[in-house]
Amino acid sequence: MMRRAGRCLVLLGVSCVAPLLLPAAAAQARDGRLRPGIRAYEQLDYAVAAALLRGELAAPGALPDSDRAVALVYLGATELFRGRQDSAVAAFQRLVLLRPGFRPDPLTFPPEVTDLVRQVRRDTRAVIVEVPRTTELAVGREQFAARLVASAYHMVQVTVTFENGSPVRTLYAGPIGDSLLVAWDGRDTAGAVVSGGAYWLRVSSRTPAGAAVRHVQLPLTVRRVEPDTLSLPPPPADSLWRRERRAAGPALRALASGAVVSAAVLALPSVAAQGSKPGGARFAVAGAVTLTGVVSFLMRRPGQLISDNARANRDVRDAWQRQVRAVQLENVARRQAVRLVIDAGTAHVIEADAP
Amino acid sequence: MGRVIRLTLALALVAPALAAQTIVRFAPGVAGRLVRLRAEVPGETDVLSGAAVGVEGGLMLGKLVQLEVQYLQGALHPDSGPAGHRDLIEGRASLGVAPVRWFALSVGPLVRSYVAASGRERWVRWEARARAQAPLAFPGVTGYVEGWRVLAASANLPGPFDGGQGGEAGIAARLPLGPGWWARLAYGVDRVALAGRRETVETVVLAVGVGPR
Repeated sequence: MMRRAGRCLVLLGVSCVAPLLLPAAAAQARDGRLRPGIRAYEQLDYAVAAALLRGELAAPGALPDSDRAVALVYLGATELFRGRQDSAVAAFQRLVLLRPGFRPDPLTFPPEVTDLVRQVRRDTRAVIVEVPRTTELAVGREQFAARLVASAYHMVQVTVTFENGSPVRTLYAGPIGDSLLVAWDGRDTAGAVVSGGAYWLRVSSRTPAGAAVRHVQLPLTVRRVEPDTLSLPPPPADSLWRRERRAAGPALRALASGAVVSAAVLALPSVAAQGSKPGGARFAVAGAVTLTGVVSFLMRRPGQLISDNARANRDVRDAWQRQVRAVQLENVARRQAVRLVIDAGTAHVIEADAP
Repeated sequence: MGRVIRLTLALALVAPALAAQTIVRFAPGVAGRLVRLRAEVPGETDVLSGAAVGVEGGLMLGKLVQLEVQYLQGALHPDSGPAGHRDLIEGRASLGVAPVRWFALSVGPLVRSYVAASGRERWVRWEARARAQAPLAFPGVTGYVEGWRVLAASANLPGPFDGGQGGEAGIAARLPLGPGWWARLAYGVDRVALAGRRETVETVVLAVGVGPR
């Protein structure tokens, strides 16, 4: 499974976490809604700080994630210094679930706080999924990329599932360090391009024993963009086809012409020289003319195959069929060049013991 | 007879060169005829028959105008009646037009002489001819019917000319001897009447030639 998921690009040991450090967000938070709570913390008024920070976290009009992370780290530190270790751990767990890669600024928080955050990160095994809001990819040439950011090294399984949860494709199963880049080519396990519809990108965090502890599910809406196919070339026009069998007309005309000329030969004495008692030579000529007409009829008898025309028709037919085959091949290629438009929704976390 | 042979050889030599011309096309040929003459006067009928050979030729000027000439001579022997042996000499020329490929009209003189021991009987007559032809399906074979009317005639015989007409029908075919070779097989009959005297000539023609037909 892991080998088959080799398309996944694992980026273990990524250390570029500096942007996740607190100072910039904290500086902004100090000037915003969190300013009273942070000031109370700095003035060691932990009870007031905890109340203010909890109030902001619970207030209607959700804080942005960056402010929420700042609020949680200050709340955890406040609870820690108030001697409420469990509350501090709970706050830091919420922080880790929200921002698995978050690290408190060691210049702002003492080692007790950063150590506890590090311990909670290690124990929580949280992952977030970062994807573009919309991805358009050419199947076979491009891939849908998801970046996973983990709180700590642990085992994960990344799966694309149908809306009902049945698996479509396992993209990755293995360890994750700080982050992991997973790619999906838009195909299912059998290699077929998925049809349009609703899917989930599901990331399951597991214990070393393999038990799932948490799932992150990201809704994906997939649309197929089918390329236009070429229409098949029309059959050759009737005017291009030649008659393959001889018609009755020429043969009958030959017979009739022979009969007319033969009759003329026989009738000439009666017309031009009545009562002349003609000789019998005219019968020989009339017979020869009649015989010529009969032979002509037989040589062009109706239904006889005209091989030149049959060959010409075969050439026309073969040329048309070659065009049809070329278009069919082109259409097969076009059908394989499907594009997928993948819209990603908002991820949510499901704890493993949740129903 | 020697004159006919010499004329035939001369025509055969010049025919290919003339036939190759596209504007003026020449179609010479040699013809053999079986001739049967029935000469009737009140109370007496002579029947003579024999063979004649001759040359004939057509000169096509473009597609419209055509000139035809014909010369033959032979000997007729009595089949019945008191008449004796006669030599037959005949020449004919006609100038015609072919407004369509299958139909032609022509007019021209015909001179026919019968030379017997008792003297020469000579006819000169002017004929108007109409000819229709149609191809048979057999490749290169054409059937034709021709009729003519004697417009005027004179003879070194006593009495006024009473009229005359005739016709010919047969087939012409291209021969596989080379380009332009043809053969013709036909049966013809004509009659002229002069002061109670009637002469009927039947012919079976077998001709071979080269050139357009």
